[in-house]
Amino acid sequence: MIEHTEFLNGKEAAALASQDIKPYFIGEQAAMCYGASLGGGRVFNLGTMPEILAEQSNTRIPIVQNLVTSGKHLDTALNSGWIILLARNPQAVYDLNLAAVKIGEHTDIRLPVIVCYDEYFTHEQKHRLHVFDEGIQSFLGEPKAAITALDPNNPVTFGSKTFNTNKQHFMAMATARGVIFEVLNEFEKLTGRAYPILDAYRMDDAEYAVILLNTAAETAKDVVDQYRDKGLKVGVISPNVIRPFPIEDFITTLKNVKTIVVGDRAEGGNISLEIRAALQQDPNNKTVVLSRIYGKEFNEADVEAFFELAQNSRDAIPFDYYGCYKGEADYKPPKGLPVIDAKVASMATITGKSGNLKVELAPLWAIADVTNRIAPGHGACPGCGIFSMLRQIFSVLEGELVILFQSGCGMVVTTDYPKTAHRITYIQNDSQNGATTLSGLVEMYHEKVRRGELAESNDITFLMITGDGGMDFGMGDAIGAANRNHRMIIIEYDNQGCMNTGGQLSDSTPLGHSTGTVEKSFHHKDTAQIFAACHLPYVFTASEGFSEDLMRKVAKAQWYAKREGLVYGKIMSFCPLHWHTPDSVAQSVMQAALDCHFFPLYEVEKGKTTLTYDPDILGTRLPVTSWLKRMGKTKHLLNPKNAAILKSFETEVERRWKRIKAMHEHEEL
Amino acid sequence: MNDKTILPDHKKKFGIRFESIAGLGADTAAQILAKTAVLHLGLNSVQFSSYGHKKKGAAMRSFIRFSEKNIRSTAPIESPDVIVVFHSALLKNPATLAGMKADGILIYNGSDKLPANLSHLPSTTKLIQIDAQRIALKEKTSLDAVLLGTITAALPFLDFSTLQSIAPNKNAFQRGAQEFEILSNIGKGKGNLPISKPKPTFGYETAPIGGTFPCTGNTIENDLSTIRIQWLPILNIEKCVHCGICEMVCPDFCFVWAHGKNNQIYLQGIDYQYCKACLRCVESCSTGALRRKSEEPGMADKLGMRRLK
Repeated sequence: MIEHTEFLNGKEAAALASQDIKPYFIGEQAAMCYGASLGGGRVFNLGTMPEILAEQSNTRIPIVQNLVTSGKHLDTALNSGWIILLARNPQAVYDLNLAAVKIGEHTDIRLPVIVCYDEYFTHEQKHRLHVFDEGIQSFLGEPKAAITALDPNNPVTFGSKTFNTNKQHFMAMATARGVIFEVLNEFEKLTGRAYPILDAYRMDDAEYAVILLNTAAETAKDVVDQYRDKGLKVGVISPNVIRPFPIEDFITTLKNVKTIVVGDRAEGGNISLEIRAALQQDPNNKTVVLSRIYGKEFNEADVEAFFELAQNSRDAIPFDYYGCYKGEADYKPPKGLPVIDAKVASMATITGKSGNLKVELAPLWAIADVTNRIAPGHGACPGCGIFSMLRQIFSVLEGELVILFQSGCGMVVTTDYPKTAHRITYIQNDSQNGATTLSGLVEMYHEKVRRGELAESNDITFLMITGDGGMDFGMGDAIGAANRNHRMIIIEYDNQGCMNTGGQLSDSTPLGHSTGTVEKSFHHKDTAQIFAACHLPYVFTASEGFSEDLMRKVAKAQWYAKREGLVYGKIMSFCPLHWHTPDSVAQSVMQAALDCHFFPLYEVEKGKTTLTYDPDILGTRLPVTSWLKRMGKTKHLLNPKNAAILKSFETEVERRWKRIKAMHEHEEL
Repeated sequence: MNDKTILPDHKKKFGIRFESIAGLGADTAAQILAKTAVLHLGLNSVQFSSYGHKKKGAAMRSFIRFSEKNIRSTAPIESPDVIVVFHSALLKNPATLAGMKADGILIYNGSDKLPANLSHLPSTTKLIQIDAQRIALKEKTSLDAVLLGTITAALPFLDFSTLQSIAPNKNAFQRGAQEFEILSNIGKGKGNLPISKPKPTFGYETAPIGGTFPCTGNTIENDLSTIRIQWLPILNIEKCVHCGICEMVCPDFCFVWAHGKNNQIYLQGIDYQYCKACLRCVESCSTGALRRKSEEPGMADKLGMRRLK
């Protein structure tokens, strides 16, 4: 057994394990990983989104998935039919990922396995760990898939909905207990690192114990050592395996324990309920079980409080929240700015009729006279384009507004409880379903107007703001709202990636651009054209670096959203953090993106496409390289070794530009 | 490999806390120190930065625990042996020095003109000042490259030659290790500083249900001026034509306007409480009325103007 030392966090340890295992496929989306694993080779899901597919366990297809949890994700996973291993530090993340492969693939089991660990504490904190130089493959053995979807000589039907697989599944879980024990034993012999099914720390003669999951248990061990030095009979119990639930191990370990306090981050305290149920099976057990739900952090002082509770359990209530802040009766949040007068002036005046609106814009300095609907003091990065975009949008929207943000940068930095930068009603929803939620509110508004409960003169405009990443996850819902043609506006700030979570790629990231994870390997999504194909009354593109154009289009957007239906706008928005530029260069970088044809500015008004900025006519045309050279995320594309990628990108940009131009020139297109 | 590295008290963990602004390299520096300790100095260590979103410009902390044994705790370090302050403006916030040990070391980046009264600092705490910003500019590198040198010089258990060989910039490291000052007679306090207590806010008995809160624009209370690292946009009103472009591009809504002759609106000045010095206004100003200037202590108070609420 040859190993070496590394210094990694849980995220890196999982990634390293996934490479060392040499799987056929490493994915991040549960459904894609399920598809890959149906083909019979080893599959590893490194994604951190808590998507646990029951389909995967029902069809008995092994896979290893990492689940990074704040507690509640574990709740959902518990009843998904997967085996669940708990990893308390990066070393355990690495080790248990290897063991998980072997456990799940065992011919008597064939079940998917989750390796679950704490977000932040394990996922992001760096620790010392030992990793294999060799010997992994001989430990794992060959994957043996009995049935695969890639064997044309033996066609198989996967997933008939009329056969109940539950009893078979239960039998496999029962067998898994012994197999997990064997595999972890073999792993210990190989490495010296022990993973007992139930980690019972200094429990031999313990009278009081705390039961904790993952990192919290490690913190508790330090306190137990101190208490033991003082002669107190205390211990800490933490499972390394939570599915199948280690019933017998809990019964044996808790035989002579007076009181336990079970600490859990999940709502409702599932683990304590299962421990109580397990102890019911031992008629002689007299252990008092107390359940406490704690928040994010769990420090030494909290362990001490738990032991204090265990020792004075006589009047303690069985279930409670721990460490919650009650608040102070006389606390008032900072008052903020006064409610905005509904009659906010707009910089735009609209004339003409549907299909041919004309917008007259006040001189730019008049913006200073328009009350902003968003306050200063938000926590965005220096130079963030979302906020200059919002300032420009708000300066042309008249009257009452309700705004919905999908999850993303703009959401995070404006609503740090109990402070808000929003001066109008603001709703947050996950990036999967913002458009559907807002269309529900639009329905309610029209119904209330119909019933006479709201005056029509209130005339509320409904506006959804999303990032381009949100328009990946939320595409289905947004298309649904578009097809229903709800009277609302969807504005996508396109900064070419998922910037809130570390600059990962989105479908809108252009080809070859480097991101927080990998270089983008396919072309950017043409969201505006997708929505144009929904035959909406108005679709537009704009740049926050070209205010007049943006404001004219947003004014039209409001006109159509009030009268005719859904409007979609895609607005290029500056992100110096992940474009890797100085904070100040928004104007020049975005101008180059317009001048090189990458981001055509146009509108599709009642089906008629009009280019609103044409660098060919203005004589400002630039090659794409003069845009790409300005950003750290794209400079490498000018290197001759990336010539093929550059060529492919240039060709695609030109093809799309010519297509829009043709539409501009021909009314029927 | 140095297997004999020992901590000042070999039974205890040794804790370092970096107080910084995201983007100044604190996380990188902490990673270099902790990783070197594990891979080259025979020590164990754990490194992590504060929980939450890592927006550029946001206040952040990074922590390192060193030990000769296994480290199990993942909790933030409330009472560190060393506090390193990457931006001297952070000294104005009492939470920056919370938990400072009486026999500990405080290292800060800044000039010897302290931006805040530090008389509450324990008199026995060693106070080290280094103008890392100036050195970093000269050596064309980042702050962490300089501060690594200062930290290594201050802590004998960090093997100097090992750290120097790993340092991202050798000159900056060397200058960081040499050009610091030990300030004396600043702290008058006795005993460790207390650990910080969170400010009161809504709790479960007082908060409106469902996480809703009926406020409008109360971020206006926030002071974001510590985010500025070097520059300040300065308005020369003589050159200003009041075109409004700065108002269009400013992400932080810092420009102050007022009505004047012909009932038109005129730019008056800049509210620096919200200014993060992105300098987008300077880039977009066509008349040169907005220019960047290196920010000196007190400059923003003198040249700024409060935005009318």
